[in-house]
Amino acid sequence: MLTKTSRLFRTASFLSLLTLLVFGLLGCGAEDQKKAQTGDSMMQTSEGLVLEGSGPFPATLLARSNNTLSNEENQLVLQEISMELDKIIDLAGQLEVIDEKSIDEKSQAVADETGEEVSQ
Amino acid sequence: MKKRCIIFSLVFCLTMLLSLPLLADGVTNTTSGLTASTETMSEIFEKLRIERANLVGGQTEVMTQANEAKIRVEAILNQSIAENKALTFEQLESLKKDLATIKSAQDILNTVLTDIRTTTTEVGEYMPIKEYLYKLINLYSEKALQLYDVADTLKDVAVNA
Repeated sequence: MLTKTSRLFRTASFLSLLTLLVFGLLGCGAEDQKKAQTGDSMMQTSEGLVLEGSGPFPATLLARSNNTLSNEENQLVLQEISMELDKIIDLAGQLEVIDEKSIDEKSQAVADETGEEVSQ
Repeated sequence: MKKRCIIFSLVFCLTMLLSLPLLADGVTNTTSGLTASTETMSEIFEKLRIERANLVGGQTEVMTQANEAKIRVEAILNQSIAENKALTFEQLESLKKDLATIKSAQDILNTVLTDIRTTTTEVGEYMPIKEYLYKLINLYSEKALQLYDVADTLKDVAVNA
């Protein structure tokens, strides 16, 4: 009986430890994934910062330059940053949100069906 | 005593294993507390209106902050042209960070757009059923937060350059 209990106890302890180990590994995995997501768009090289998927300007130019750009190159970089900001405005403008009027109509239709009071 | 230990260990293991799916999902958004099914449709629609307004607010904030960042960049550009002076080491280092911020903002915006499109096109026209409305409310709430975060990061663009 004692041996059987002891074996059971050992098995239970082993299971507990195993579960903790799985959780630990999962935790590490989640952390790595988070890091990978945030660091996805940039990487550090010996040349400096290079942005993936960027054209010749401005990121690679900045990285290649070792911070010694000519005035013209400076201006190109700044113009390119401005264009990248335009892209952000454009992307934000593409956001599709349900029309408020449509919500009102659906809400009214449901209220008519169920007899609920509509709060608008 | 040993028996108690064994039972405790088994219960512990079971609890941990049952909570695994939660961990895998990264604990899905429960900020809005939208599990209650006792809410009336009118209340649910009201929540949808609020979250919709929140999302539109986030969108406006991103556009505003991007515009303001653009103004700052153009001011640096104009100064550079007027003074015919190269940017300093610190300015260039700062611009590198700004580029990373902008790129990351673009990535997040693309994800937000895709997620919203995917969810809203799953059903051709949105249905006045609780499950779908809750899904939309959660989606709008989560994406609005992301948009406000993006707007916040854009506040730092071209500030130090």
